[in-house]
Amino acid sequence: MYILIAEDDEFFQKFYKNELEQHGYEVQIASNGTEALASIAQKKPDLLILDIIMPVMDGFEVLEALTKSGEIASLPVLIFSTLGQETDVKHALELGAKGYVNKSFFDFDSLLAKIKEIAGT
Amino acid sequence: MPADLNEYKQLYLETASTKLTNMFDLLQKVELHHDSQAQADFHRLAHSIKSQSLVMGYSQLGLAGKILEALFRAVQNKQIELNEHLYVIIKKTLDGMSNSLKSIQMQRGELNLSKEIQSLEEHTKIKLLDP
Repeated sequence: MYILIAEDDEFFQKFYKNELEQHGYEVQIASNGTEALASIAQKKPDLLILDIIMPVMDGFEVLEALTKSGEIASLPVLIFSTLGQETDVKHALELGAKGYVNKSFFDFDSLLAKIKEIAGT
Repeated sequence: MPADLNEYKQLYLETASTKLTNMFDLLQKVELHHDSQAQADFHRLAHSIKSQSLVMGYSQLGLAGKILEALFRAVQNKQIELNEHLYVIIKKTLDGMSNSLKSIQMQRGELNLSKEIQSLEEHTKIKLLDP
């Protein structure tokens, strides 16, 4: 299963790439929304894990672009949220995200369960 | 299987320290030139440092990041105007966070930043329990 993570923070990029690869997932990183859309155009992931606050193009703009192109229908998106982003998460779910995971309260089992639930694997 | 967070401690210290250095520079740009891009970048870095500190279990650094993030979101939304006194408190908070990272590096654990956090709460009326 191929997962694209759109996340600008170097710490979380390495942290989640390493952990997910150890569980057998193929992981690619995009550092902002523009990179994420370019990566999706090149090779469509089975799941997009999307941060909201990113430079250049944020997570909301990515969701809007995916909705506009119609790709949101076949690409499950999981939002990376954190403490204090409840309103942002609500907005992202309205824009078509399938779920969210709080990256600040790390619980890998929950993340794996969520990935399986959302991506159907 | 839970991740071994110790594996990521050095990465945390390096990336958090770089962010704090950048936040000092950005604050100067905001203070001297009222640079709106610097405000947005400061907000994003405060958000990042909050998130990575919380995942590593450094709650004081996480809360300090959270209140700085909330403050700069309010500044961007024109709900709060920065003044000389607030700049001093923000710099003290950033200093406290830097010292806390040094303390973690020396295996002494994170520092208590409640004085800095409380001071920001009092002067901004932002409460950390607010979303």
